[in-house]
This record gives sequence, structure tokens and C-alpha cells, in this order.
Amino acid sequence: MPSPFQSFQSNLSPSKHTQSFQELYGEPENFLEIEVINPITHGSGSSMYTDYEIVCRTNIPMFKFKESRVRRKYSDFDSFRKVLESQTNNVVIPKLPEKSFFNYHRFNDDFIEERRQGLQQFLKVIAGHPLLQTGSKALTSFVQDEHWNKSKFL
Amino acid sequence: MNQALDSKTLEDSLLIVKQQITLMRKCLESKNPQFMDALKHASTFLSELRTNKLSPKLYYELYVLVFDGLAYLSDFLKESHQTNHLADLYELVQYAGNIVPRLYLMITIGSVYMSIENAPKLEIMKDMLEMSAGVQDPIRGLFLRYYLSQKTKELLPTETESELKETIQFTITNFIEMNKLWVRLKHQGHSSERERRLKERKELQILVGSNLVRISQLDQIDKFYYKESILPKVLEQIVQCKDSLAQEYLLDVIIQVFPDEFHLLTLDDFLQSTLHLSEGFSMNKILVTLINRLIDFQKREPANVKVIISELSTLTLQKDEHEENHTEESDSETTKPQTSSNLFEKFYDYSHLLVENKPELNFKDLSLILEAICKLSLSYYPQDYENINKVFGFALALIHQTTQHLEIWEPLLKTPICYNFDPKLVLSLDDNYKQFASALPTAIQSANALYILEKFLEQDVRLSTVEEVKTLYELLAVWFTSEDSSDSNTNSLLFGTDSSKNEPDESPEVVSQYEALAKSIHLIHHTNPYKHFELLEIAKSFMSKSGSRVRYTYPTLLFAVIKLIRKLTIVQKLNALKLKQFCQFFSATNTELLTLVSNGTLQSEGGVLAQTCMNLNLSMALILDQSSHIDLSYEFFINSFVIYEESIVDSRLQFQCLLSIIGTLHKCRNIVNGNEDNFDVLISKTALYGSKLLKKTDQCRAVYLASHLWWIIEELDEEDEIESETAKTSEDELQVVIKTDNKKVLECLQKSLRIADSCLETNVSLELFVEILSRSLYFFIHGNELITIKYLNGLIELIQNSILTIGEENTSIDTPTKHFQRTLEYIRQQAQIDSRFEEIKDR
Repeated sequence: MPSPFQSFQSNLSPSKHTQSFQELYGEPENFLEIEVINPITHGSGSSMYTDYEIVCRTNIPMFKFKESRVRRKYSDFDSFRKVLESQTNNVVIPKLPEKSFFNYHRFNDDFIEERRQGLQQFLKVIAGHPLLQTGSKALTSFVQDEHWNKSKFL
Repeated sequence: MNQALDSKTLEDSLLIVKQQITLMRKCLESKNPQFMDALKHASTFLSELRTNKLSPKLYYELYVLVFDGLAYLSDFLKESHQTNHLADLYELVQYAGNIVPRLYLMITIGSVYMSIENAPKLEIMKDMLEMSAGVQDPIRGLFLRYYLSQKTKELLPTETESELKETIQFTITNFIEMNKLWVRLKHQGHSSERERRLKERKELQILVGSNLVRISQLDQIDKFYYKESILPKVLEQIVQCKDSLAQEYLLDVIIQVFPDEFHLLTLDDFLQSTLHLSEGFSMNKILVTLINRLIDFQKREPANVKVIISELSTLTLQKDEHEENHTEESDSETTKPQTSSNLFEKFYDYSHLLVENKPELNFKDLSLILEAICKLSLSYYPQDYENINKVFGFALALIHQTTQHLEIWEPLLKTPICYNFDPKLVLSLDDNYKQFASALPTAIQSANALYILEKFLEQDVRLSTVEEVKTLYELLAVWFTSEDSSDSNTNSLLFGTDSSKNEPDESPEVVSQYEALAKSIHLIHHTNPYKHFELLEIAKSFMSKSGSRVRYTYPTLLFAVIKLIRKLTIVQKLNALKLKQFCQFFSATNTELLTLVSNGTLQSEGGVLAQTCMNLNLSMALILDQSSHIDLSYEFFINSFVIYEESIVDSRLQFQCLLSIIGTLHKCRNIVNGNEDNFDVLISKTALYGSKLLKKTDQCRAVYLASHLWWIIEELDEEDEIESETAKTSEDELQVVIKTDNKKVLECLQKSLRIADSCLETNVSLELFVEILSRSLYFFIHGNELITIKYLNGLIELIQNSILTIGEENTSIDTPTKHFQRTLEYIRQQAQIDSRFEEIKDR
């Protein structure tokens, strides 16, 4: 005996919610784009260092700016990571790219590019983490403030 | 993104899909169909659609293959639905592990189910539609819903009204959801890929638009239902999605797919909603398309348009009443919203709203919109010039706000003339048009002026009132106040050089302008010649502003006057007083032209112009002679002589002018009869001029030609003979003798012979001798008794001798020798019919 037609939809909870136009067409609420680009090596001799530009575009209200560009050194990333570790205990903080084994190797282009990618990956994970986004003042400061001051957070 | 990688992914997927389709078909086509296995294969190839590695274009290729694969499944289900009950299958496929294959299978089965008689169509539709919400990824979702729409399009129920409504609701909902997915796609991915995203979205647009096409294909839709229930819903989505790509595309689709009568009826709603579109939306495209549709509609089905417009006005009336009832209690004074069923008003008001509400709208768009509105008015209300005036008033206000890119207004400027069949429309426009035109760069103004004038010439539009003449030339005003002439003046002042030394060759534009302008004089026409003359005077007052360029137009003007005199002569209504006025006008104008020659503005062109002036004078003299105003005619001959003496310096020109004079004098009749003394003065003078030419050959020819002036004989057709009683008919020919002076003729011939003889080159002399022989023969035939056989024989001998002297073999005398032979041949032939010739000595 053929059974009568049974709609799937009737089995699910009836959701008669009509979508608002903002829901239909609006920009998603958690838009976040973060990039580490444009490495520049400054100074000479022993005071030589490389810094990177962090470009951030977002509409998450936690962040102060919709678009920002700041420059950070590897050591800044390092101290930022320490701050994060000390502040949170239920989030696994990813590792930074390895430090260079040989000092002479530090300003090699390939090395810098590899490090840049590592830093970008690190920052994408951190910034995209919902708990850190809402819970960490250090994150927004590191990504958007003109100067990074780790002592504020330690 | 890497394209090679993309197509590799596609190839892999296509391969899998093809394999699985083959396997599925094997299962289905075997004697004992393995339906469950077939479903599994289908599910496997459907899983390929889960990819997010493909661009929309490539995804579409994959989709097409899958679609074909599923068609086999559909066919099988249709044939076997007795054994495999579809409601069961419909339930069965929901256990497919993955949502994308599950929903594709569900739609495949559901759509077959819908095609079965007595199926609960509406429930199935609703269910499939709602289940489709399970896929929210833009590309996958769009294709899934497209599949839904494709599979159901033939099956949607439309028999009853409620079914139709459900069907429409179904399609609109699907449209809204697809639009949502499509718009959301722009937020996906990295912001640096916006461009690519936009391109992808353009590739997908047709999927979204297909829903609107679907609605438009439902024949049962009534235009009022469309106005009430369909359009508002669709427009709401379009406005609210705040995406310019979607807005532009979807509005265009609406205009293209729905019938024109719908648009006409819903014009207000449509226009109203476009005011709320997002920035960056190019308004003109939509509006221009819409207006063009409406114009075509009017052209195609004017009767239908009328019906709808009347429906529209009753509709708005009802609405007004309705609103009035509402507001009556609260405030009876409330001003009614401006509701008019006049299309032009609608668009015109709308264009104002547009400017108020969308300050970012650029002038280019506005100009195109106004142009379209202008066309609309010309098409719907061809007689209502006030509309056009309004448009140009508005355009004038806009153009005052900017000085940049004024060239964008050119098409608008040309619209009234290019779009209307009657060029005279442009003459009926008020000052707005002229002011608008004069606010534009000169080059555009001139081009437009030429455009207008060419239209007039093309259609041979007569100008018969003072207003028309004035207005037309005011529209062409830009040519008369040309900058070049003032430029050259300042140049000469600044550098102290005589700018006329290098009078610029006129640019081709100017030449064509003035050519058209000259032609325009012939457009002036009035049945009353005196009124006509007044119009010419007005025309001249405009032409006179164009400096040295009057040389292009005045001659035409003068010919127009001559034409008038001829016309009056024919109807014999020439009034002496008026004629004087004509003559004054003619002389004054001619003198102005001559001033150009005498002050040297024209350089090399001067001689030719002087020749023209002289010829004009001669024509005038001739027409006056023909109308028996011999004193005036005499005056004009004298004037011509003055011009000849004072202004014609080049010897070649002198010779040509003299030929014209001789020719004209030879045509005169009344002056010869009326005042022979005067005529003798003229012809003696002419002969004298001839003998004073620079070159011997010219002298000789001018003199022997002048001989004809003393021997004017009119040969008559037989009909004329009866009319002219004074005709003295000779034995053989019918002829009227106007003037015969044997002696003078002979004198002239002798003189020319002497001149010919005095030429240094014998071959030239010979040539002239032969020519004189021909003339002499003419007079001999026509009875001049002084041209005797002896005289002719003497000439022939002279010629033969000089041929002998030069030597027959000398090639330099080939032509005159041949001429001479032909002349002798002629004499021999004449001898057979005319005994007088027999005595001429043959060689």
C-alpha cells in the first residue's frame, strides 16, 4: 500500500520567522580580514631588525577601527603571545614560526617571507578565535594600536 | 586563482560524474532494475556538486552534466511510478547522507511526483521550497534553487486562482532566496578579490533573473494583480538589497520580460521605487530602456495605450477618492498628491524628484534621461511643445550649475529636431531652447545649427512667416557671430600684419554651413511676392552679420530677387515703385559684395567674386530688359561695365566677363527696340573692351564675337510666327530681325582679321582665320550683303596660302587644318541646297 505524501518540513520544528532585510542582504556580522605584509628591514649592524605591516579589516565591534595598518617586529609578536598565554588558560595559543638558528640568516629574503607567512597564519587563528575576540584587550591593541606596549597587559 | 588548477578540478569531477551516470543507467536499464543502486550512483555524482573549488562558470558546466544525468532518473521514475511509489521514494531519499545530493534527489523525485495525476502538488512545492533553505552556500544554493525552478516550471499549477497565487508565491519566494544568496556572495572571500567576486556574480545573474522570467511566462496573470501583488514584492527586494549590480540587472529584467501594458500601468510604483536605489546605480540605463519600451508600445499599439492610460486615470481617481475619505475627518484641506495620468508629467516630475533625492547623480545620466523624456513627449504628445519647453527649461537650470563636459548635452539639444517628423517644431520652442543652446560650446552649437538646417533642406520645409524666418536664423545665430573673423581682426591689430594677406581657406565645416545657409534662402517662400521680398530682407539682415562670408550667401539672395521679378513679370503685376525697391536692395547688396573685393579682404578669391557680382548685374539687367524696364536695365548694364573696368584685372577673367556681357546683350530685346541709342552705346563699348584685351587671340575672338551684337536675328518656331505680326519672313527661314547693321558687322570682322594677321605665330593666326571664316559664313547665310562671295573666297585663299606657307606636314596646324576641311565640306553640302554657295571657290 502506498503511504500518503509526507513532507519533510512538517517533521522539523516549524520556524515561521520571516527574515529582515538586514538578515537577508546585510554584510555578515563577523567580517574579519587580517594580513601580514610588506616586511622592511631597518637599521644596520647589531641594531638591525625587520618589521611587518599588519593590515586589518573588520566589522566586529570589539575592534576600534574598521580598517587599520600598524607595524610590528617579531619580538612584538613574541611578547604578544606571552601576554595571551598569561591571560587565558582555556585557549590553545598556536606557536609562532621558529626563531632563526643562525643569526647571519636572519635578513635573508626567503627567511623573511617564510616568517611573514607564519606570522600571518598565527594572527589569523588568534584574531578569528571567538573567545579571544571578546575576551582579550591585548588582541585589539596589538592588531590596531599604533604602538604596542606589552607592559600594559602583564 | 589558478585557472589551470580549476579546469583540472572540473575535469576530474566531470569524469566521475560521467562514470557514475553510466553506472546508474546500467542499473536502471537492466531487466531487473536495481533502483537502490542507481540512487547510490546518483548520490555519488551529486556529491561532486558539493565542491567549492570551482568558479560559477565551471560549476555550471558540472551542473549541466548532472542535470542531464538526473533526467535519466526522472524518466525512469515516471515510467515506473506504479511499482516505486513516489511518496515513499520522496521519504526514502531524505536518508541520503549529504544535504546537497539529498535535496537534488528530493527535487528530482518531487517534480516527477508533481507530474502524476492527483498528486498533492501544492504541498510538494512548498516542501521542496522550504527544504532548499538547507543549502546556504551562495553558489551551491543558487544552483540548487535553479534546479528546483527548472524542474518545476512545466508543472506549476495554474488552473484555479488560488493555485495561480500559490505558484506565483512559490516563484517569488524562490526569487527572494536566490537574490539573497546572490547578494551575499559579495561578502564572501577576501576583500582584495572584490573584482573577481563581482565578475562571478555577473556570471550568476541569469539564474536569479530566471525566476522573473518564469513569472512573466504565466499567461494568466492579470495586469492589476501584477500591480497589486507581484511588482511591489519584487521591487521591495530590489530596493532593500542595496546592491547596485542586483538592482541594475533585476530592474532591467523586469522591464524586458513583462509586457509594456504592465509597465504603463505600474509606472508610478516603478519610478517611486527607483528613487530609493543605492548609490552608484546607473539610473539612466533603466529609465532609458523603460522609456524606449513605452515609446515603441505607443508606436505599435496606440489604441491599447489609450485604453490603459484611461484605466490608469480611473485607477488614480479611485485612489484619490479613497484617500480623501480617509482624510476627510482629520483635515479636509490636505493637498492631494499630484496624480496625473499624463505620462510626460509623470516623468518630468520624476526627473525633479531624482535631482532632489539623488544629488550624486551625474549630469551625463541626467542628460540622457531628459533626452529620453523629450522623446517620450514627442511620441505620446507630438503637438504639445510646452512639454519640450519645460524639459529645456529644466536642462537650462541644470547646465547653469556646471561648466564641465558640456558636450554631454549635445544629444539632448538635437532631440527635438532629430526625433520629430516636422522640423518646424524647433521653431515653435520658446527661449529656453535657444538659451540652452547658447550655453553650450560653439562647436556644438554650430553642429546643431547645421543639423537643424539640413533637416529643413532635406524635407524642403517652407518658411513663410516673419517669425519662422527670424526664429530659424536666430537658431543659426552662432554662425553669424563667428569667432574667426574677430580673431583675425585682433591679430592684425596686435601684430600690425595684414591678416587678409593670408585669408584662411575656410574650414570644410564653415563651407558646408554656408552652403546650407545659402540653400536655406530658397526655403523662404510666400505666395505674395512682395511679402516674399520682405522675408528676404529679414534674411539679409541676419546674413549681413557674417562679415566676409556674405560672399557665400548674398549671390543666392540676389538670385532670389531676380526670381521674384521674373515671377511678377510673368503674371504682369510688377509694380514700378516696388521694383525700384527691389533694384535698390539688389544694388546695395551687390555693392556690399564689391566692397569685399575692393578692400582686398579676399585676395585671390576677389576676382572671381567680382565676376560673380558682374554676372549678377548682367542677370538683373537681362530680367529688367525682359520685363520692359529698359532704363533700369541700361543702368544695370552700365553698372556691370563699371565693375568690369574697376574690378576685373585678370586678363583671362576679363575675356570670360566679356563673353558674358556679349551673351547677355545678345539676348536683350526690349532695349534694342525701345532705346537703340542706349543699346548702341553698350555694344560699341563692348567691342571697344574687346579690342583692348591683353592677348591678341582674346582680342580677335572678342571682336568677332561682338560682331553678332549688330546682327541679332531671332529664329522662330512655326507657332511663334503667327503671334508676331511684325515678323519679316525671308524666303527660307522664319526669323524676326531685331537688329541688322551690315557695315558694323563687316567692320568687326575686318578688325578681327587684322588682329589675327598681326599675331606673331602663324599657326595661331591660321586658327583665328578659320574661326573668322566660320563667322563670315554665318553672316553670309543670314543675308548680310556686305559679306560677299568675293570676301569669302578671299578668306579661303588666305587660309590656303598660310597652310602652304607653314607646310601641311607641320603638326602644329593639325587642328585648324581639320577645322578648315570640315568648313569646306560644309560649303559643298550647302551648295546642293543653296545656289549662292555654288560660287564659292572650292579647292
